[in-house]
Amino acid sequence: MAFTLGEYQDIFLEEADEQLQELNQNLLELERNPQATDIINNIFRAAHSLKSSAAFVGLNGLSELAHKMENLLQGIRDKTLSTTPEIIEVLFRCFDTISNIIATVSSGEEPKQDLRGIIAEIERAGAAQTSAPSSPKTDQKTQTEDKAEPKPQQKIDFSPEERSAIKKGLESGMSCCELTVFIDKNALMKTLKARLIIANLEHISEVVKTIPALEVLEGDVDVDVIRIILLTDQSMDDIRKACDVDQVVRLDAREISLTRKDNQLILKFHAPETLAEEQALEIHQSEIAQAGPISGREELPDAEIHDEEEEEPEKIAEDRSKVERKISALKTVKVSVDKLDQLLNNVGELVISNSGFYKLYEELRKRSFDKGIINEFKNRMEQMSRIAKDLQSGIMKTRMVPIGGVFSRFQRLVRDLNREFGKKVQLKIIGEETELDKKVIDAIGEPLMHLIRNAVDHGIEDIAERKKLGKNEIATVTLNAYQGGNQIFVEVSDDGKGLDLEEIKKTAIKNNLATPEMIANMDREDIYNFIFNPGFSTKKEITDISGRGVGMNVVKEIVSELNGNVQIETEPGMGTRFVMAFPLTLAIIPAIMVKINREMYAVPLSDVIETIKISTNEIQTIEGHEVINLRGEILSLLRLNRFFKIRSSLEPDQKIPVVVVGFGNRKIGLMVDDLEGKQEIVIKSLEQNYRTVEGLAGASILGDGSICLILDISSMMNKVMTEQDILQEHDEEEYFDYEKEYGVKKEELVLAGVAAEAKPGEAAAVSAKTGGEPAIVSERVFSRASETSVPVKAKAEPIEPEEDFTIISEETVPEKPQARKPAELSDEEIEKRVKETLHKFKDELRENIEDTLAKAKPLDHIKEALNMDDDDLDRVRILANTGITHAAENLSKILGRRIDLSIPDVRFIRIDKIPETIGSIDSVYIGVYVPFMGTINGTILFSFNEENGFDLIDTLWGTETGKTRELTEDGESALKELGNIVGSSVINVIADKLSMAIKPSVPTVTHDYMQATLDSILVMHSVKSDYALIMETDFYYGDDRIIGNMLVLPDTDSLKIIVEKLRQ
Amino acid sequence: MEIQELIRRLHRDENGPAVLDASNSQTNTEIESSLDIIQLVSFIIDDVEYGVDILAVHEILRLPDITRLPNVPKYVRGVVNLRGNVIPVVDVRERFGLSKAKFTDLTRIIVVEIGEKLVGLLVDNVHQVVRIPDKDIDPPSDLIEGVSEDFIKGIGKLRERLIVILNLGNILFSEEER
Repeated sequence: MAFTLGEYQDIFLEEADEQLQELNQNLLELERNPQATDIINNIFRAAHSLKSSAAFVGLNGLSELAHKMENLLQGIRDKTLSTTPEIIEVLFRCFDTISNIIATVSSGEEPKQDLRGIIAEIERAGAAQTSAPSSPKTDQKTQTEDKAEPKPQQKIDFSPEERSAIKKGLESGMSCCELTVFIDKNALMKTLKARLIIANLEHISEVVKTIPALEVLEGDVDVDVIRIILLTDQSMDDIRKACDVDQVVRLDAREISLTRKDNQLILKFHAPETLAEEQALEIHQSEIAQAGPISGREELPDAEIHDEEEEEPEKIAEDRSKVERKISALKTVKVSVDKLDQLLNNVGELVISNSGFYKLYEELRKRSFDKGIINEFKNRMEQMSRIAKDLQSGIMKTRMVPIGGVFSRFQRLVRDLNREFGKKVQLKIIGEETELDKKVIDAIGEPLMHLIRNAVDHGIEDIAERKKLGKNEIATVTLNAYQGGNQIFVEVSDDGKGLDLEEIKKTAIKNNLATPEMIANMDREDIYNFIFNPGFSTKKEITDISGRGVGMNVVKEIVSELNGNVQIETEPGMGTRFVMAFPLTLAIIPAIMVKINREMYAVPLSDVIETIKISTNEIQTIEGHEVINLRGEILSLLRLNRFFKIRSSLEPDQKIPVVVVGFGNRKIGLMVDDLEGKQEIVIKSLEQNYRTVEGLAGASILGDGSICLILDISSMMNKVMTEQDILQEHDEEEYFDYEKEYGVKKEELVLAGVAAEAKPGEAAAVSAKTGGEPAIVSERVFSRASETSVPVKAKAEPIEPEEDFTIISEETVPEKPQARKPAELSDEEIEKRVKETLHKFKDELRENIEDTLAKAKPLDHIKEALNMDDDDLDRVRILANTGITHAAENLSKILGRRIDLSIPDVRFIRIDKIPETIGSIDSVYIGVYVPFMGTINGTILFSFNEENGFDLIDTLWGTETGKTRELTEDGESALKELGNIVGSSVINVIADKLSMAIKPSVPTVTHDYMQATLDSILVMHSVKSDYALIMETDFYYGDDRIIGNMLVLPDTDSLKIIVEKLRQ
Repeated sequence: MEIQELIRRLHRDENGPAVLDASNSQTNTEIESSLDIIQLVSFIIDDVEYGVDILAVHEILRLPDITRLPNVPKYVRGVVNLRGNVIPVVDVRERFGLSKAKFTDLTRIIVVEIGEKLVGLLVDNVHQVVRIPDKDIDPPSDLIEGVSEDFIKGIGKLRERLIVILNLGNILFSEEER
């Protein structure tokens, strides 16, 4: 059984290792410079911490050693001892011993080093200089390690039955061995444990004999060592596992074999092998020597037991334990936070540079390499980007650790302290799920330990006194962690007697920290802060727990190292609260992402109370402040866009999303443009390279590499309160204007915006393909901004209405299209409906064109590439819209149903974005594409997702819906026919308008991924630009079920011809 | 002195006889490096050439997305993501009291180290890297109109050119902020 100190072992080992390193370094320094008092202080502090943490995990011997060291160091600090080479030598030896103990523990063994020698040396070193030993607590009774020594093994008396059982077992091929199990002396219910082990062993072996006998173990006797003789065919490892019971400190085994000697059967006892314990060889041997003649010969009445010297097992055991030590050392790897930071940055780069592959992929595709290779490349590329993202989030999570693990380790401490001081203190833990950076978690254990010790020792009154004061006999120490603003607070509070102001004053004067005059002028807070000075203690007697005045100094130093601070709140008779505040430099926090115009901001979720949507008419103005009545409560509003001095992208009649946040005990509603959901973000400080910015807690880098600012509600509110005018309407001229700012980048922005443009109007079915790009909202602002100043071109150039439309527009159009009654309607009626819809659609279309025109300001680089100007683009749009409308009309005739259209989306788009525009890139689509050729070339693609495609085939064939479930030849021919009709209707319109000869070619049906379908289309065309002009619409049945999507894609040269033609 | 004189002449005749240049290039660089020479990354704003000590330059970026910051001086255009570092970007034009920078294809961000901080300088262009011997650098004069002496370390002379060598210490924070 591996020895362990419980769940805190790793933490203890890490800490101890650090402390030891610090001790060694400082001691070397001290050797060079024996008078340096600050170094002595450092050594003293490290020794003190080591003592406390060792005692905490139950390594009493180590704690004792550290305590002695501390005594010696105290002498040096108090100048009663001087720093002689002897003392330094002793201290170095102490460190080596501690290092040994730690190494033993980390290899999973219980340390058995004899510490008396070294402790005696410390005392000699101290006594050599002063006549009296410096510590009042030099009693030797804490040598618990010693008492855990194994008791001498006794001769085993086998009964004849047992003997024959052993003989029989061995002859049948089983092996026989004697196990010696050492149970922790201090363990409770030792007999129960012994019986448990025996029961375990009985599963896998035949237990021949136990010493003491099983019957004895039934009763309540004090047994530390059990010897078990057993026969087994299992490996030693299995036996070890069977004995793996809590608080078994050591397990020895010696094999018993049968040999024949001088015609006598001999039971041969091999040398014992320690299965679950490892100790320094010399100690082991000395123990054995101490333990008496176990390696002698033992005789049985009828068989001589021969115990031959067996060196080998011993050696093997030693070798093995070396290996084990190596392995166990690897269990936790301590990685510096800096390295993690570096990694995180690197991975961020990886994610970004990975996007470069997409460009490469596009290039490959254009050059029409083997499709298989291209697809394989794409798969690999996507896999890689997934891995990179996983890696990123993995590393991010590595850094963050909930504080609960650190908190819970103090339950034990408080229990031990209770026993020690005869107090009744309960530890209350709050906020254990609060996540802190690993760096903080690593360091916070020590200050917490000191604070808790101080609280129990000094803070909490004796039970008697508490009773007298009428306080609850059971005192409470509370650990609390929470996040507030851009800090994480960790509190240790007690309900004890509070700090004694007068005592602190006295001690401060005594220690020459201040003069009485100074103190008279000091705030209470400043006076309390004296307790953080090194060596400050008001305690009259020094216990080994606290009172040396080191603890608080450690607290202060560690907390400041983490850029935090400690505050003391205390009330005489009520208790004391230590509040440690840490900046959450790298804390991951959940946040609500909000958008204002195109800018993304994060509101820490901890500040958010709720999110609501309000409409403009709910807003009332009281003394110039905007408020709403939220469930009977007046809620002040702040337009976040005013704070950030940017125009809101909300339309006046739109509902306004409001994030209700709390600060202090007040609430305010932040009006934003859009809510983008919850996200976990890593806070990066702005101070690192700049400074604190009012209203911001920091920045966060989002997955795409962009930066989003994190709001700090309380500092924002401070700013708002001091500058009330932020709440007032600003002169919008001052507002940030992307259009003005980004000369060059504008076209890209516009492109991104168009690509992701949300389609206005509710009557038109909105296709669900908007990508949620950051530019969405801002595009609207552009349009609003330009609406007033730039005459909308579409108005000057209205769509030339089709004759039918004109007639119908004079008829009364019902407010709402009638309930859908497909099939039975007469052709006339259907046609009428279709026209109604188309008419409505036409209006929307015009709106849409106006919108698009207003929004899509110059697409400079496309203009350059294609030699087009805005007017050209507008004309192409009109053309496409007319064509698609015509197609819809024809489709509805074929299907005998009403057809709804989404507003045709006519835009420039990056070629590689086309597949995802149309649908999910991971799904298979049925498509029919009709290439057209003549003066201009291109392709019309009509695509459906599988299910809808099958439904459509059913409709075309007049079979019942759901019948077709695979693409048959019949289905294909139906689709081809559909392609012919719909395709040619579009082509006819275009040919007509352009007075060109264009012919549809034979339709092709595909059943493949969208990417593959488009690849085969693009292969036919010369697409020279990175961007293609696509015209694309979703078609719907009357009942809103989607039919499919239609895409018109002229090739680059044809686009130029179209443009030329339209200009004439 | 003679050698230095020769070097100076060589510099002037850089485009002169190739033979002379080549035969002396070895000695040239050797001696140059033994003299105190500073290398500058130069950029031009409104016909004035400015230089930043190359030792302070971390890297030069094409214009990335700049995230605006609220409540900061106008010349701080915002922050950019430099491989996971959030660094502020100072619009050098605006900092010098000139008109705000317009973004063009030539716009660059020179990332410089100022003390412990990394700061991006938004400039209209990056011209070249020049080498100027220390002795050809004069203390700041009132030659440069509009640009406060706060930002000028000296004026370097390179043949016909004058290069304003920037003192970056004051460029990030305004007087009140310091």
